[in-house]
Amino acid sequence: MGRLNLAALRVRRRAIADFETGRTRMKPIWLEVVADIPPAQIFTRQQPIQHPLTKIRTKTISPPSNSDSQLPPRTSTEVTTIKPTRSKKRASQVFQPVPIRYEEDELRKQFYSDHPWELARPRVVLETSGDNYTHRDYSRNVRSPSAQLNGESVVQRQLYLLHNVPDIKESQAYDMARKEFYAHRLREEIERRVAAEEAEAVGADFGPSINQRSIELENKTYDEWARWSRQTVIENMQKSAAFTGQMLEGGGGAGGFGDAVAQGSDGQVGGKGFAVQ
Amino acid sequence: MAVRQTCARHGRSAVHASSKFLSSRQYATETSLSEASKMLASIEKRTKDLEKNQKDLRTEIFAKISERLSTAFDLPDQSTLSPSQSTKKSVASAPPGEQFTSKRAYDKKQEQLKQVAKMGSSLRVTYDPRLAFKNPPTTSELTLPMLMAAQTHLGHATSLWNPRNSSYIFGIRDGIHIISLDATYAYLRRAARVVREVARRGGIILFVGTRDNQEQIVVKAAKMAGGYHIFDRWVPGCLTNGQQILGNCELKVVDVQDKELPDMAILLNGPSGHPVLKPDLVVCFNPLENEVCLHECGLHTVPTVGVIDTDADASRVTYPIPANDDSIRSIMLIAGVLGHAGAEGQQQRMQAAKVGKATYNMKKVREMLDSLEDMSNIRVEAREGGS
Repeated sequence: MGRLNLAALRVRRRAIADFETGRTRMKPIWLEVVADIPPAQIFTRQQPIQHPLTKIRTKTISPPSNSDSQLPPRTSTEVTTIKPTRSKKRASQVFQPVPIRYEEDELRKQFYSDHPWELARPRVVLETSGDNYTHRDYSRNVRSPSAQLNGESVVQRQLYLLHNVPDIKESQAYDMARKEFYAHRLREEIERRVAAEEAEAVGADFGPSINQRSIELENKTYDEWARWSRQTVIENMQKSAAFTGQMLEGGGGAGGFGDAVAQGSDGQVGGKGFAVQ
Repeated sequence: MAVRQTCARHGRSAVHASSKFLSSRQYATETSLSEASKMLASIEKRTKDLEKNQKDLRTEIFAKISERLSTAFDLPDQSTLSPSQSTKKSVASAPPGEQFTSKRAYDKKQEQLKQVAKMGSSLRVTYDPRLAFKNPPTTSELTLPMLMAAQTHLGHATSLWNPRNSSYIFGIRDGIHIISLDATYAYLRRAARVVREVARRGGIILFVGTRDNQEQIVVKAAKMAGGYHIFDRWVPGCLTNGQQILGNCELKVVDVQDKELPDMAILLNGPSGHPVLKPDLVVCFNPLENEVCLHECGLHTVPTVGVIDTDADASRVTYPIPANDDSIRSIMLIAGVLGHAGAEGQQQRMQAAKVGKATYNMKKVREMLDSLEDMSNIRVEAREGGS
């Protein structure tokens, strides 16, 4: 079945042929349906949808020098389109899909490279109805209604500033959004701490803190090490005592000495010696 | 020397065990004798206390049990007494706060509980993952944001793509292909129209979804569309070898208004049998796993509707729906829309039937029934002639 199997697409043609040749006695009931709603064209290779990167900026237009200078400066929105830099496409790539690019991508990249630990925070990625973005509003500050405060808020706030504030630079917008974000994070942190304190005041128990828990673990490890070291010392003492004892007993002084030397130099040889005895 | 010999006889575990003992002895010598005696005394005291507590508990439990038993057995006797007396007794026996002296007190407590139940926070904007299952959208209610929220746009890794799907693909994002929501919307509407029309003509619609967790979705869609479902496995040969696999299945014969015709059913279910029914439309939610099913449908000229992900072959089905087939939420939405379309078609059919019209060609049905009757007559005659 490596070749094209067009049976599914040609059901109607096949059904009519079957009926006309008498292979089937009745026309199937879906015959008119497939005639009314023909199957879609497939295998048609169209030019892929292009995704040029567009950037929107607001700029002030200085009034012309010869006109009345008392007019307020006007602003205009500029949309620049950046085409992908790939100069030459191979013939085989002409019909391949193109990467989707957005203006936010670069901003997101910068924020998360500067704040990598933001990626470690839990995030809600669920779309409830698909139009969650309509409830977002980053015009006032980094905190949008019905949205979690995270790196995405910074990116969206920065984008809003870039789109709407005249003559703003990317770094300026980044700093503004970033600092608002820090302030809100701090506030959240304080709120959380106060809430915890209040809860503790009325009898909540959150268990041992992270520090207490880590100290406990550390103590446990130290105790274990102490136990192990004591045991090792005793074992070593016993070993040496055994060897010295053998020498003193003198059941073959030279042999005993030889054994000890062998064990000192190579554990395996010593072990063999034990087995022979 | 002694240690070495045990080592030779018993291996290393013996030495290890002996050293363990030694180490424990080391600990024992560290504690002084006075401390040990103190500890012993405290332990003795503790055990005595525990024993005492146990005794107390036991007596308490016995008292409670005996009380319960006495009340349980004395109740019929107490019913003769005045109610005030019996309540007094119960109050005296039970701890305060649990039993009520009057109905008024009970009502007051209930009122309090009601008020307290209202307190606290309530969540207003919530997400119910089964909403698309419980209340699926119709074709006209379907929107692109809905499709996006249901993750129908997420395809597979770019390396897994089937180039035949290139016209449905919007672009590449984070290494996966993104299916164009416009294409999904258009093709889903087209497929829904097909389902509706086939249902309106009284066709047999078979929903096939054999992946994990698709069972309920498939059954729901089939129920809505008045169709049939397969959620475990497509038995290979259901179409190509149908007489063997499904030949013994019983047939339900209904008239225009979906009322059963038992006489016809007897005729068709008789020894002469009946030709195996073929579905008029197969809706497949996972074409990758049901290649055999789709192949058989192609051989037997059964039109098919299928959810085609970026790695699936669009030529396998008559009406592809380019969408994500790995997400349950996506399948739930698509199945819901198709189910709704089927329900609409069935409704139109029933409306026509109320007026007395059939939405399908009755002439052909009559022809078929006549031929069946002829066939049965021939058999009877042949049997009579033979005897």
